[in-house]
Amino acid sequence: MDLNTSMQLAFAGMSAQGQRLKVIAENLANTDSTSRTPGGEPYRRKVISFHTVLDKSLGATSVAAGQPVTVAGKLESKWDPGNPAADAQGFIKVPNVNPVVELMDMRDAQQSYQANLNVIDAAKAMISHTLDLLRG
Amino acid sequence: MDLSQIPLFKAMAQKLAWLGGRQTVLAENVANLNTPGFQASDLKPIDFGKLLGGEGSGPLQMVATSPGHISTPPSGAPADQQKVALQGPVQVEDQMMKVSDTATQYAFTTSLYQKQIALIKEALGH
Repeated sequence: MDLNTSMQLAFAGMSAQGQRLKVIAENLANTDSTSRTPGGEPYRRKVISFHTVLDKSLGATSVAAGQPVTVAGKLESKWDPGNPAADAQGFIKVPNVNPVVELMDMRDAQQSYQANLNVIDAAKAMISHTLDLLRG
Repeated sequence: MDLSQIPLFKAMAQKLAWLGGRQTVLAENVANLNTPGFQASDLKPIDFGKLLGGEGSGPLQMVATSPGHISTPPSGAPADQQKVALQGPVQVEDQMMKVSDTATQYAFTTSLYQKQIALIKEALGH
């Protein structure tokens, strides 16, 4: 049935956004994670990307989240000689996580999640109107 | 009595099917809000008046005049559910408006359906 299909699609969208939120939480939690060894690599920011999936059972274009990918690029160094992760010169490498960027991303994920919820609400209302036809 | 033979009921059923199909297309768009390179689409609007007009719309069908004839199913997708690609990226506000518009029209059509049933019941003396 068409309306169930649209609900399934919205569920797929919500689960994809949920996975995105998980990665954002991971990044935020590791804002200050340095390496375990002196002069080593700290935590690197991860991003997730979505792609379309042709759901044959639904006959519609669904969505799925891909694997999280670490973001390459130059890391900033900080002077912190007391830190166990510091190299011979007393510098530690800090993660490339920018809390402001993560929060923006989180808002965006939240908004998209809400949009999918709205679709479910509308489909639910339509189904209940169809059932109301039986009451006559 | 077959309700689907009455033009108004037939038109309303087609309208409901179209609205359901449109909701699916909109759900696709919303689910793929953050998918890079996704092409949003919408269904081609249908003309309710034309649906009511009945027989004139749609391609002509061959008539099976003998039991030996093979019946010909209509080729391709039905003309009333055609997908049209939208230009530019998916706008969440735009999609939400369309979703609520579809739901409202659906509610309107189902209540119209109920009223028509009530009218027929009235005529039958129930």
